[in-house]
Amino acid sequence: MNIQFKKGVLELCVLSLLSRRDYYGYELVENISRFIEISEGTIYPLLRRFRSDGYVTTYLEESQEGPPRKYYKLSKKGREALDELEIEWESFVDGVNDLLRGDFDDKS
Amino acid sequence: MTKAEYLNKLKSYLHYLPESEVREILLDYEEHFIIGKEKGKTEDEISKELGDPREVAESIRSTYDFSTKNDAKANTQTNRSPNAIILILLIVLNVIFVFGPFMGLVGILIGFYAAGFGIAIGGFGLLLRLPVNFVLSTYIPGVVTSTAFGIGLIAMGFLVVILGIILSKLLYKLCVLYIQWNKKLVYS
Repeated sequence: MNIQFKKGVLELCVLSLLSRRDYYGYELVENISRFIEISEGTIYPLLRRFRSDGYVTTYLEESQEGPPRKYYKLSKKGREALDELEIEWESFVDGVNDLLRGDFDDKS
Repeated sequence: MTKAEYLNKLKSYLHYLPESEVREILLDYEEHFIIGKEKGKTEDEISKELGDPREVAESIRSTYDFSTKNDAKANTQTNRSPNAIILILLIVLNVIFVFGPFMGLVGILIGFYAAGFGIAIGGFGLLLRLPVNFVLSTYIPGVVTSTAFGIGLIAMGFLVVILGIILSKLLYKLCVLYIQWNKKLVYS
């Protein structure tokens, strides 16, 4: 699939997951790659960008096993971005579906 | 690929970034490896799932370019060596032809501020009907006249000061542009 396109979708997925609860990086990767095929390593750069754009904040939390986890928390700004992306996504999908089903008046 | 191999490869692709930044990035991937191993995966499996380090580095680069475009630009500019001949020419040109007019403009601006404050202070004096010993001070204006003229003068004074501020900003912008233009010439 087109890389730019996939990037946008990945953005939407990560923001959407984070709108439900806080996740640490590995969990995010795990949950997303259950549904879509991605190079898992590309999620971390995305998270870094989200942080520098103020979409997420991070905090460390100890875990029973292993090192402390870096958790990501969606900010108000991030939620606004998500809302916007979601609207865009839905109108995009609707449009593509209409085209695929031939569900439109042919203008010729 | 083992964890160490993977991280080293990634690191080698990120050489253009500051060290602290690289360390932070690698820490994220290290955490990923550690947690993956806790969940029973091998380092090789985790490396495969993460994807080609080159691809990962590429996506890091694209986000980095995006977030610090200006820094990167500034860096590339200072990394190039200055052109000595143009530098000397510019210095001579600036000292002879630019410095004088520039100081003149600064002087004019200082004049603006001084005049503005002077007018405003005069207005205050008139408004408060302070005793002033001018040559023609035998004439003392009435309350209405002095109040009206006082307010008028204060307003005028502030207007002149505001004009001075606007002109200062203009001069500042002009200087910044001029300096940038000089830099560009020297480093091209």
